[in-house]
Order: sequence, then C-alpha cells, then structure tokens
Amino acid sequence: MNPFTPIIKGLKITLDHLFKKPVTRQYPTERPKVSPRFRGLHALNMSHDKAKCVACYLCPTVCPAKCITVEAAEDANHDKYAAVYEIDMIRCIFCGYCVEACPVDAIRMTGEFELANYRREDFIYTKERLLEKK
Amino acid sequence: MVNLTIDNRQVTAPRNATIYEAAKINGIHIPILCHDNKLKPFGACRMCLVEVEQMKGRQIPACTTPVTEGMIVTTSTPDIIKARKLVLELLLLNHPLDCPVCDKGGDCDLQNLSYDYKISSNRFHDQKFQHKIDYNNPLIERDMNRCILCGKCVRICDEIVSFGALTFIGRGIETKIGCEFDEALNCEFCGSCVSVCPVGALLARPFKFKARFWAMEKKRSICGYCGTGCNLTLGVKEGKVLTTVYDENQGFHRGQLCVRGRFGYQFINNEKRLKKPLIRKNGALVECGWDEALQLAASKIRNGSETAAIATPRLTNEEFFLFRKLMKGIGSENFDHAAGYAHKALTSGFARSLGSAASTAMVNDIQKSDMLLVIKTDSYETHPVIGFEINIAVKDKGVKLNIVSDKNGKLGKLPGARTFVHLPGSETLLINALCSSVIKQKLVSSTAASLPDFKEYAKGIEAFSPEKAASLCGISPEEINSLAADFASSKKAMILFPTGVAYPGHDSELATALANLAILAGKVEGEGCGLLCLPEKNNSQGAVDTGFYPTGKGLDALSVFDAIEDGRIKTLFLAGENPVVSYPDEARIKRALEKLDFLVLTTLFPTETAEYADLVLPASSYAEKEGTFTSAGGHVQYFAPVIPKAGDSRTDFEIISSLIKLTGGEAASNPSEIFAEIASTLDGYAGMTYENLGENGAFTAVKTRPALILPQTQAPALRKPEEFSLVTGALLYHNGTLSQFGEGPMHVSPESYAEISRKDASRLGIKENDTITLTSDSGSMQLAARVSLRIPEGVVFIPNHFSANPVNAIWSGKPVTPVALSR
Amino acid sequence: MSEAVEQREEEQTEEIDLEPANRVIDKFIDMPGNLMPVLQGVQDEYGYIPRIAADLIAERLNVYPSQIYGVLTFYAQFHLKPRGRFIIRVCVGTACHVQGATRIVETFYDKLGIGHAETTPDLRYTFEKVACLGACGMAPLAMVNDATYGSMTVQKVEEIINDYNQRPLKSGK
Repeated sequence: MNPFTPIIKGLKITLDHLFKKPVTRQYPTERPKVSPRFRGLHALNMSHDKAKCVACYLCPTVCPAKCITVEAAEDANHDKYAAVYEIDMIRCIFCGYCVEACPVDAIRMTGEFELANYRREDFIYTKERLLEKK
Repeated sequence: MVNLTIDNRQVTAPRNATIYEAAKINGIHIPILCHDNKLKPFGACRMCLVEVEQMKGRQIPACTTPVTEGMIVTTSTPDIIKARKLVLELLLLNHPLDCPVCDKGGDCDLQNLSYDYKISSNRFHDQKFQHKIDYNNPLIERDMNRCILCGKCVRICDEIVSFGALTFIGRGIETKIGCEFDEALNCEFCGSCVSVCPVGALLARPFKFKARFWAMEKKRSICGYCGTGCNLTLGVKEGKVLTTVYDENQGFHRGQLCVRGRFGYQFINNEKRLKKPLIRKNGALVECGWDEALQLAASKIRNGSETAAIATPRLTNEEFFLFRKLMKGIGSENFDHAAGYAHKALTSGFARSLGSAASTAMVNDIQKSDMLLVIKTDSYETHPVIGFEINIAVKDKGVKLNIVSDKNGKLGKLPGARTFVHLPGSETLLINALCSSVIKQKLVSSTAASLPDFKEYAKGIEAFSPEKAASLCGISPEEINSLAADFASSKKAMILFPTGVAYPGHDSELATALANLAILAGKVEGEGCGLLCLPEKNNSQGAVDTGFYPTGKGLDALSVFDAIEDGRIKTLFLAGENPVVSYPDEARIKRALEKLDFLVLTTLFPTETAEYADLVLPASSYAEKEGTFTSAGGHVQYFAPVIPKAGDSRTDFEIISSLIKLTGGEAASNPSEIFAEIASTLDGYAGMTYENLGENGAFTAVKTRPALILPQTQAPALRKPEEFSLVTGALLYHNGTLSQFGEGPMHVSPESYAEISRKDASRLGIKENDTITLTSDSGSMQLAARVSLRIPEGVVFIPNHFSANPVNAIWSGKPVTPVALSR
Repeated sequence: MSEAVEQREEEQTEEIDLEPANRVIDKFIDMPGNLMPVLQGVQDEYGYIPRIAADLIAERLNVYPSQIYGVLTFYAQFHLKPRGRFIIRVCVGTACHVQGATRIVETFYDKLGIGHAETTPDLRYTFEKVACLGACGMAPLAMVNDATYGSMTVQKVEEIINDYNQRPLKSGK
C-alpha cells in the first residue's frame, strides 16, 4: 500500500471536521441540556406547601447504597411526616430506585449534576435542602 | 387421632382439631384473618374456605369445621381461589389503602394476603368509612376505618383478659367495633387487642411511626418485671428497643402480655439511664473511671464483717450466685434481697413445711386444676398474665375459683367466683380456721393423718375453730366451713398467693398455714394440685434458689439497717435496690443510710437512694445481659442480650466479677461458666445448661417433705373506730419502682393515691381527687383520694411503686398499719 | 342493687327510678339466657333502655356493659333514646312509594318538625319510615301505634295529628 494513503486519509478526516460543529462543549460557560430522564440530584416534591413525603420508609428500604435516612414523626393532626429526611450524596449511586419505590410521588430526580463540594458534611442533603429544588 | 387427607396428603390430627389446625400441624398453610391459637374458632373472615369431598364439594370454613375420620380436604382449587379473591376485594372495598402511613404495613395479614392473591384492582366501588379515630388514651389508637371485623379484639378481651371493653356495634354494613355506648376506650390497657389485630385498626401509640416492621430485628427475651416469666419478642432497631412484637407461639402464655410487659419496655432506653460511674467528691457525685470506682469499692468492702449487701430480685441467677461468692469471699454473711421479708414465705415457710423453698405447683397446673384458692385478688394486679391463666381456667375449663382477700377485685367477677373479704391482716388466722374446719369435717387425707406431727398439730389448731376465728377475721363460720369443704373435697385443688415487699402479711406464717391446708387436704403435689407462690420480681425465685439470703448468723435486710445504726455495719453494697422508696419506714432507712461510712450502689437510674451513695455504678438492664431467670413455679429460662449496653455501663455480673478479683478471689469470666457451677451445686438445677434450656426453659426439680407445723398467728390488732387500716399493694400498671421509668405505665398510672371505700368517703365528705392527709406513728403524708368500690369500709389502700410521695412515709412494714385520715 | 350502679345513679343528672328495672331482673335472674327477656322487659317499662338501666343489668347479670350495648344496637327492637307516646310509622315500600309515600313522609316531617327515627321534645311523637307494613292494598299506608290508616293523603296527615294532639300523654299503664 502506498505509504502516503493513510496520512492523506487521516488529514481528510481532520479537514472534514474543520468545517463541522465541534462536539466538545465549553463547560462551564456552555452548559449541557440533560434529558428529562436524567438521574441527578434528588428533590422532594411539595403539595399545598408541604412535602408530599409521608415517611413510609420505602426509599431507605429499597436503597441499595443505604444512603437515605428517614425519621418519621406525628404531627398535630396525628398524621405521619418525615421529621428527618437525609440523603448522603457520597454514598448515592443515582439508581433511581427511591423514585420508583415512592408510593406518593414525593421524590424525583432533577437534572442537577454538579454536586462537588469541599467538605464531607456538605454532601448530606437534608430535607430543607432537598425541598429547595422546586 | 383422626386420619384424613389434605391436598392429597395422608395426615393425622387430634380428635378435637379443626381442619385449619390439622393443616397447620402438618405444615399445610391455609390463609386466614380471624384466627388466633388462643381464641375459640369464630369463622368471621371466610378466607379459610376449603372443599371437603364428603360435603358434596361445598366450600366450608376450615377454622370452624372439626376433622372427621377419612375426610378428604382440598385447600386450593380455582373455585376456592376465586372465592378468596372475592372476600379480599370486598374487604378492600372499605379498607383504606393507606399502607404507607400505617404502622401495620409489613406485618399486616390483609396486605400479605392481597399480595399473595394479587389483588391489584377492585371490581366494586364504594365509599370508605369515615369513623372518628379514637386518640383518647395514650396507649391504644383505634382507627375503625381500617377494621375488617374479624372480632379477634372482642374475643381476646372477653375470653382471655375478661375485661370486655370491646364489642360489635350495630349490624350489617354499618357494624363497627367499639366500647359501650360508643365511648372512648377506657380499659386496663393490656394491649392484647392490639397484638391480635390483623390490620392497623388497633395500634400501639408509644410505637407509632417509630419504625417499619421490616426494619426491626425481632429478638427473644424474658420480661424483666414480675415473677411470671413471660417471654417477650422485642423489636430492636439501631441498638434500641422500640416495641414488643406479638408471637402467638411463644411461652406458656402464647404471646399474651400485660400492660407493663407490652408497654413498659421504655425504661431500657430511658434517657435517664446512668452511663458512667459516679463518685462522691466534696459532697457531690462526679463522673469517674471504672478502675478508680472498682478499686475504691473493693477497698471498702474488704472488711467483710462490717459489710452487708442487699440486692434486687431482678439480678440473674448467675449474678446472685457470684454475688454470694463475693460476700462469702470477703467473710460476710450479711447478704439479702427483697427487704428480707418478701422471700420468707419461701425460704422459711415453705422450707420448713414442705422441705424446700420452692412452689410445688407450676403455672400450667392452673388450667388443669378443679379448684383454685387465690389469696388476695391482688394476684391479678401483681401477676396479670397468671390472672389471664385463671380467667381461661374459670371461663373455659370450668375451674372453680375461691378468693380470700382483704378487698374485692377483678378476679371475683369471674363466673361462679366467690370472694371472701376478711379483715385486713387476718389471712393467717383465716387459713388456720380453714385447716381446723377441714379436721372438724373429717376431710383430712390419709397421708396427712399419718404424719407424725398430726396429733400435736390438730390439738394446737383447735384454738382456731371457725366459730372462734369468725369474729376476728370477719367471715362467718358457715362460710369458712363451706370453703374448707369445697377445697378439701375437690379432686384437684391449688393455692396461689403473691409475695412481695408490698405484702408483708404474706410471710412465713401464712405460707406455713397454706402448706398445712394443702397437706391436710392432700393437695400438695400432683397435676393441678399444689401451692404456687407468685414472687414479686422476675428473679425472686432464683434469688432464693441460689441462696442469696442470710442463714445462721447473717443479718437480714431490715436488720442490716438496725446494725448500721448500731455501728456494726459500716459499708453497704446495694445492687439495684431502692430502699428509700420501697422499704418500710422511710425515715429509718434514710437515717441509717446517712450514718453509713460507705454506700456503693449499682443501679440503672439515679434513684433516691443514689443521693446517699458514695459510689454509684451504672448497671445493665435485662435486655443488655445474658443469664437465666427463675420465675414462679421454678421455670428457669435463658435469655441473651438484645441490645448493646447503655454508655459505659456494665452488667452486675462484670462488676461483681471484678470485685471478686480485686478482693483476691477467683471469678468466672462469663455467665455460662457460673451457670454450669449452679447446675452442679444446686440439686434443682442439675443437668441444666444454656444449650438444653433452649427456648422453652426447664423446671427446677422440687423434693417435698411435708410437715405440719402450727404457725405463729397473731390476731390482727384492733384498730380504734376512727382509725383506718392501711394496706399496701401492687397496681396492675407497675412492678416495683422500675416501671416508673417506662413511658407506658406512667401514661396510665402516673402518681400515687389513697383508695378508700364509698361509704367512708361519703361519711367523711371526701370526693374523688380530694387531697387527704394520712397520719401514722411513723409520719404523715398527703395524697389524692380515690373513691373505689372494691375497698371495704375502714380500709385504705396505697400502692407502693411511686418515688414521688412514697407510701413508706407512713407505712411501718407491718401487714396493717393504723392510720388517721382527714381532709 | 350494687354499689357500682348506685355510684352512677348519683352521678347522673336525669332522675330515673330503677325499681321497675330491678323488678324485671329479679324475675329472670336465675334463667339461663336471660339477657334478651330482661332487656325486653326493661324496655316495656321505660319505653327505651336508659343508660343507667343498662349498667344495672350489666352489673346484676354479670355481663360486660359493652356486650349489652352490642345487643342493643344489633336488634332494631331496642331503643336507646326516650320514645314518643305515639309512634308514627309510614310505609315507604314499593307499593306505597308509587302511591306517593314520599309526600306523606315530608308532610309528617313538616308538621311534626322531626325527621326519621326522631322524637318530639314533648315525647308525644316518634316518627319512623319503614320498609313495608304488609298492607300494600291500602297504599300509601301509615300507622300510629297499633292503628292503621290506609289511602293516606296530605289532608289526612293533618287530621291524624290533630286527633292525636288531643289524646293524653300518659299511657293507661
């Protein structure tokens, strides 16, 4: 085979790409658009200004990484609510089982994926932090 | 036995079994919602439908149909499955689908069956019920919207608890379960109804929303309150005991528990638990290390002759055995338990009359007997689960019940029960009169008549003829004669009586008198016969068996306090006891404790006694240690720790073991070694090991050698007409002072009170909850009055459990204390 | 009479003489299965079962009060509230319904000022709708105690009420 053929072939590809849109993205100035099914940071859904979560413990039960801590309590109307709802994002594997298990559609996964932090404690997402994501 | 075929399998079953039971015995599962092995068949749920070939293929309920020879049963055909699905669909029509917030989720029979039968949609539509949920009491929540009308709660409350708080109200689609006139539940809160509820209609409020069923470990243990020895299954999560779990196959009582057993577990994880040793420095208790604490304790107790020890009967057999070794090792004979008198019925009474310090009957004799003679209706309050056994015996097995008591009570309401209310403090006298009557009516058994001391005894007992005793005990001679005849002429008869710190009258003399009665009537031994002493605490019998009481020169518990005041005893080792509250005569106990050179206390909680201690060592509860308890009737049961120890606390076993080492002795390192030693030294425990005790435990062997001894009997002191007779006793909701640290018992019975009769109340113009002042020779106190129907005139009853305003301010420790009562 | 009931009697505000109830209980006390005849007898005496009488029966027959309440609510024949001197029953069964029983019922409601299964404050009338009185040929039908009134009309309702308003409140007993 002609020793120049591969080089020319290679250069041709390079030349092609010179006129195409680049596949790389200038993150963080340029941000990706994630699919609606993307499994990012969790958020707790609200209804009537209250978290929908009824503290049924199905998510901590199903969680393979055991990263969800729930503590139920009784409110003034004798109803059950989550006094504590924490997700440890260091342990979370973003499998989405918690969303699947939830019987009251109280938890969803958002497109949020920038979860880096400086301190370990900051990876514990409390109920308040999870509720902020509307 | 009957032979039958179930699902093409040849099986055998007892003649009186139902198809459901026959299937269960043979490992064939039939789905059911309304069955419990303690209750009579009811046939409410229609889930257990099976087909029987001989009945032309009709579907019949397995739980109410008895087996017959050659029956051919099919438990599952497409038709049956269709019928069961229909039943579930109809139940789910009204049952709310709130499983995520229902505490029963995961343990719910309806949920499990819906899952098994794949009921994912419903062909019918209807509105859910809108009943109001009963939140009126702190222990049991009743949500009748979830009820499936299986009737288990109604039946258990009637058949076993005999309280009858619940009933079916109305009929047809509007039927619901409720109390009389649809009021809020107000019962004795044993929680039996909660335990059997197949759905979440009845729930335990202390456990509400604490954990899901599947997230808890279920661990077996033995109840740490009274001497019944009930088995418990504790629900444990993250090292905490969260609830008791019902297991219908557990123990002689088949999972049945009382209010304190079911709802009183919270003391184990109470925040007030001591976590570190405390040492008194400059007048205040400060935390210190274990080494320092143990060294100090060892150096103080070394001088054995000036040292005494008093333990609570809640220690394990192993701990008592080791404790005894420690005391013997340091050269002290002064060790005792339970105020020194609460065990005298066994250690002195039974020991001399029957030859050994143990009951001759067992708890499971109750249902096999023909007649029960119960001393004090309080037996129900002190040992509620034994009370349930009595209920079943009387209502189901037709056992006759006679009660001799100084007040009326719940047991007396059982069908056919007779209560003989005598004057307070005249128990022994009355029993003597019964003995005398047995002899007079010539009902003496031949074995008793041939005893060498019979003649002498018969002569001595003449002084207590029914006619003479009648006026002193307040019961007519006719009644005494009829009761004596009833007892002696029954084929099988049994005597039950409680002992405890609150019952000083139940002493060695009463025990001897009762033993005499049993001996005369020939009811000492055999199935359904004998004497059953119901000791107050979980290991009272074990403390006696392991010999943790003084013999010979040793001082008993109350004499120890005298000796402290004389200066003969300088160091006191209290294991778990709280004498400032529970022993008679508070002032005297406090005086003695103040005079002590050194008081070391092992305890779970900073009690009133800890205020006098120089060294307080945090001990472990039964849930944190391993060992054996011996309960009423000599039932030895093994239990293992279910949770890690609280904080830095140590078991009494570890503490005593360290002290033995520090005082130059040689101690075993674990309880099983000591138990092996117990088994090899104590006759009754021969051959027992932790392994062969297993889940069911074993009974200690008792050798009897009956002897007729005339008890020393004093006629009750005559009170002045304006005075009241103070009697102390136990409440259903409490046991000792420990249950005060349990949330459940304190919800229903938070404080002490003085119970007086209606007649006295109206005479003195006292109304419920009025503050009344009670004065005795030893002091004075104020309490809220409770006007009650069960107390006879001239008697005032005060429970002995409460640290706040304890009864021992006025209570002398005599069976009856005369008190003046004013508004 | 037992102390428990005495105590309740003191607590209650309404004066109810328990003598007739005790008499009924005395009559049946030794009979097995006596709860139903006792309850029926007590209802005959008072016209309904007063709470205090239920407690007395529970105490004397040694039956749980809850059980008595269960029986009382199971059978339609027992009443827990005082009943009127005259019990008006209007049939709303099929035949009467098509003949316009609804109008009759509404007229009674209107005239008496009470609804179904209610009693006038003066204890003169209790009104009940019933499913069938067994005389469909006379539809629409009403009954006052034991007297039957067929082919009811709105005018007749008024006549009946006027008639019974004249009668004495105390029964002959």
